Amino acid sequence: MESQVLSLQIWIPILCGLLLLAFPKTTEKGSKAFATFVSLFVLGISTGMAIKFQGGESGFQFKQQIPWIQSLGMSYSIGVDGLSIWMVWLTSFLGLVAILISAPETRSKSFFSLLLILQGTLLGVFTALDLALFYLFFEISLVPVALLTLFWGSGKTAKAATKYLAMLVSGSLLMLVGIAVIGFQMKVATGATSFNYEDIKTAVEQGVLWRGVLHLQNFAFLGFLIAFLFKSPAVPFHGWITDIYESAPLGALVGGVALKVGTYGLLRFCLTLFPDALASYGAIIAIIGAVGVVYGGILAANQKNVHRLLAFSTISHVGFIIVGAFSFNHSGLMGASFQQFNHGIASASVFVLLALYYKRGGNPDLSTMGGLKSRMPVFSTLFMIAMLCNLGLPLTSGFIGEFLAMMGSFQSGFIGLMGVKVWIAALAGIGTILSAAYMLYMFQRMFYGEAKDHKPMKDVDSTELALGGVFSLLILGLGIYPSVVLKPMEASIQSLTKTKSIMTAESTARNGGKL
Amino acid sequence: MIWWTIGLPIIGFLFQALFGRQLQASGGGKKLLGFLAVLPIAIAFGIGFSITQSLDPKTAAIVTSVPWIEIAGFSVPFELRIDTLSMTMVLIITGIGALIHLYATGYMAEEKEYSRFFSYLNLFIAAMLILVLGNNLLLLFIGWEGVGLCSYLLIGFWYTDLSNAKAANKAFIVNRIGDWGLTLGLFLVAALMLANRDLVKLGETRLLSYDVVLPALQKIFAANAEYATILGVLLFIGACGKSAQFPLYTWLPDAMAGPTPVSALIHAATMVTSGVVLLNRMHVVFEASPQASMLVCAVGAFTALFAAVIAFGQTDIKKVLAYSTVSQLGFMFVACGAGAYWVGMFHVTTHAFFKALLFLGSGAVIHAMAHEQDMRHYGKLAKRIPITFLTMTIGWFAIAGVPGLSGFFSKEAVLGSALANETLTSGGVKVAQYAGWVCVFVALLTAMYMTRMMFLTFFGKKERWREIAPWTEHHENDHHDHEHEDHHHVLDSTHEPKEVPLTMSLPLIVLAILSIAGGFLMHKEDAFKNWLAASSATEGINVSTHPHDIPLVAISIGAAVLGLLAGTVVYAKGLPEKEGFDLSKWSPFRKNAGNQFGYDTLLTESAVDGGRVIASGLDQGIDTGLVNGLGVGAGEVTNEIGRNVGVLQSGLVRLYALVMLCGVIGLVSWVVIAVQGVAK
Repeated sequence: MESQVLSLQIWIPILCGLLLLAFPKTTEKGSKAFATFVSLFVLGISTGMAIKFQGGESGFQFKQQIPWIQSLGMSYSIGVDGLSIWMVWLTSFLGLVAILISAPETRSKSFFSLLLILQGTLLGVFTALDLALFYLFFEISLVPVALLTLFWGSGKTAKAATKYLAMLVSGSLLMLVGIAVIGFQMKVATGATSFNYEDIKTAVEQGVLWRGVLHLQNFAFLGFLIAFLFKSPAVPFHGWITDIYESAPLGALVGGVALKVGTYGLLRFCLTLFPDALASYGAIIAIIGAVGVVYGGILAANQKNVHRLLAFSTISHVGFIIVGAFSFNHSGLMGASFQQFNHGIASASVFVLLALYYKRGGNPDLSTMGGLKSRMPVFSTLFMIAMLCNLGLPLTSGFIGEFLAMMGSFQSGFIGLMGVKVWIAALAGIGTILSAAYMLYMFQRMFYGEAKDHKPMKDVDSTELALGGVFSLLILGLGIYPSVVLKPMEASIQSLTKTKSIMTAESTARNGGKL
Repeated sequence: MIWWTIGLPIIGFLFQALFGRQLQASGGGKKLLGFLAVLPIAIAFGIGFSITQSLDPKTAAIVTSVPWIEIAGFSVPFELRIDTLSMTMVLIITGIGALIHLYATGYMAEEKEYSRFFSYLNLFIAAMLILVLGNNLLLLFIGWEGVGLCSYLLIGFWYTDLSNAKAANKAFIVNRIGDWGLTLGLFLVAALMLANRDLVKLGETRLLSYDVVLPALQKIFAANAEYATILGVLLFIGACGKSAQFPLYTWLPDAMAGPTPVSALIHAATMVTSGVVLLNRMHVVFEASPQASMLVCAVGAFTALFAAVIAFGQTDIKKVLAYSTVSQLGFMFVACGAGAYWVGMFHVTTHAFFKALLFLGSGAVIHAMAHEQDMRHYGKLAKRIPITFLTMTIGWFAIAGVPGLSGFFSKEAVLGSALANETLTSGGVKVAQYAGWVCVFVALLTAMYMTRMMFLTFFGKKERWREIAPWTEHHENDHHDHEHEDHHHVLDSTHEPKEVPLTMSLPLIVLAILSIAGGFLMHKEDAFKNWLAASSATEGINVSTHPHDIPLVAISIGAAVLGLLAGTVVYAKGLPEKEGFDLSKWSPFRKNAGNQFGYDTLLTESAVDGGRVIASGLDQGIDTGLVNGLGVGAGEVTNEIGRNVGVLQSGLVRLYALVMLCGVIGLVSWVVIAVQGVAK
């Protein structure tokens, strides 16, 4: 059944963004309202879609397929499954939030136009079912972030934007090669070049795609892997993130969603299309994830700038997603997928609150902060909830994903699945100690002690309370009743494990469990 | 019904948090707020009491509610377990909790942020109840971290003083180290359950629920005891964090930065005993592993001794009690390690009575002494604050182990269980028995340092604060004048101590009665042992608390009497007249002990400074290198092109166009090759 609803979500923001550019200069002031309206509309569609989504089915829903370049087997093919449905919702939600909290000083028309385009392309990335289309959206989505950083950021924006583009584009080029290899192999294996994800996945599951060409599989796998590790970002591919966080005006959207494309790609493509390469390298990637958890945690504790701290905290949190994803185990994958969604909420909530703080004349240097709690008690409560989510306290949404991811990894290690070891979970667990250390340090610096300046610092007003409160409610609500998010994911996640269980079924059964 | 015991404190918390501020602003608001803070805890106690009344000690009722985490093959519902172990803790938490809430309404009367204080306190009760009532390890973990959060919030309650905020951070982070071990323990349990699915009912996914886990673990360990040791050690790491055992005890003395009712409730009577509760719950693990049990015994005994010695060096009345708590927790672990889990709980219970009493008493002293905590400025207070003195004396005798009082019975049981244990041996050394002898010595030390505290505070030749010149420099040196207090309210030579109001003395009196009678009632005819038999012991495993060739009663009475006598001899005179406190011949040792023999400093410095060195090393050495190597390499080229943003922008666009072009060319050429390849 053809559905246009996804296309609406992708193209309305993009077209409205372009339209906004074409508006006359006199409309600068109305641009925020216009963007808000568009974004609200998209969020409405996403929410409706999430409600109508059939949780029990593993396949893609709301599918739409239009032939595109038929000679190359490319089509405009989109759809969502349990893995992407929440990313779509998150993109719509944080897109709206990013617009609401932004108040660019200059050229607000172009600013909001780029935000809308970014939102649309990200929605395209998460729903594309054709590898070529995915690549196209992936590439285009890089541009708005770079431009937003360049023109509206603060500090060394040029360096940040350049580094960002250079790293991510070089990564994605490798993926492009990987995509080409797959398309070519499809021709060899099935007789018709195809970039359709579902066709490719079927070919992989039937074992025809990579028959006899293990080296090609490893090669393509590496291309995808590096592109997504850059994007996630995983250590040591994270060089771009600190600068982008430090200078970008919209950490909420970038940190919350844009880099989820990386982990989403790992789950969507790396885990399903390359079974043999995974068997050889999967455990190593899990180790990269666990090292990232600890590495990010240590460095976060050493930062003087709150944005750099959050950048490293992101690296640490993303590490949990990777650990869970490469546990090859249902609980681990559910954890990874949940954590992917949760981190969007968790990091965005901090950025939103920081934005309120900057509006009152604050700045991101931790050494200049202090004593906010006595002046802004309600704000400090909202921030406390966001902080607790970030350090993974049970009954906040931050706990569920990390716990399931680590538990899955531990279980795989326990039965020796795919070469995963129990110490990977133990190592990642150290991240929970570190997250307490750097988050409490940040909170103490901001809120406790005596005020260092005598700015009046008004507490939040009712609009701001509503905005911050939505995040608090999401954090607590999902922490107490995570099934809302977990249930719709389940069937699709199970189909992810099915792909590789073809090869790992025996090894699982064989091993009775050794530490 | 049982849900209300948790629900009421949560409602109380929400009420205080949401409406407290407005209510407090209105006249008489504080009285109403205080009443509404005590009420839910008191009702919860009533509910707990009536449930306990009708409880069959042999059964465990499980009350299940909505699911929390639910995925294929693994689920954690919100479910509570009503058995003798959990209900014992419920009564302690809500009973002593209600008394301390009542006390706090008086103690915190001058506090500006009254409702914030009680919201945290109510939340703590709720979290603690989840910890003990939860029927699975993950619910225990919710409570475990939840009480940690409340402890953090309350230690840092007076947050404008950064040292309080730092003490709070330390408590949370050190606890997280323990939690790391506990989490791994949970993973191991779940993994063991998955690997042994045949031991679990078909379709059962509650892999962390006690009623599923405990019987299965028993069977698993019977076949493979090494897992018991690993699991035992992991769980014990968790217990060490929360129950302040060596090497993770260092947060507890610092936690005294919180208001005194908090120290009494959280850092003496309830939260810190969570580790003992965990060991009771998971006793099958330790029963299967002598190694893990010996570790528990050894760590407990060492901590008991170490903390008792440190207590001699403290000048802050609350710090003495803090180290005493660490030391007494060591006793509880020795009993658990020796296999007498119910004895551990017995000491938890009596300790909750007398230690809460002593802490609240010390709070009354502090209250009377204008928030001065340094015992060097006390002296001859007995007649000034008679109710406080009398009740604290009962606490003092109870903890010292004077026969007939509650502490005597539980301590005797601890010593007995350790001394009677001859099965825990390592290389021919009877570990548990050694631990028992150490505890005998610590019992003597306990009586002695408590005597020291009491004499310094209540007796002596003179009222030493009279020597403080009005508004002298001691004020700056001291760290105890809290924001909340009236700033004119500082201890100086003109100060006249006043007895506490009824809201504060009533809890003291009730706790004093419990400290006298509680032990005997539970000891009589092994009442407490039989009560806990079904939940804290395995049928068929007999643990004796009566060593056959050692005169236990004589030894425990001897230790108490000797300690009290020695303490009296040394401290009866009060402080050496002119020399002051720190110049006696023991002072170098005492100073050393006071500084925990440098342990905490070493740990803090190595962790903080060492951590900083590692972090900045990583930051400057590796991270910068990585970033430059992997990131800027390509970026540098474009940086060269553009000297200003305008030029750079075109550079960026050009680079991007180039990359896209390369991409398209690459894709097309691959496809062309592909087509050719197939055409051939």
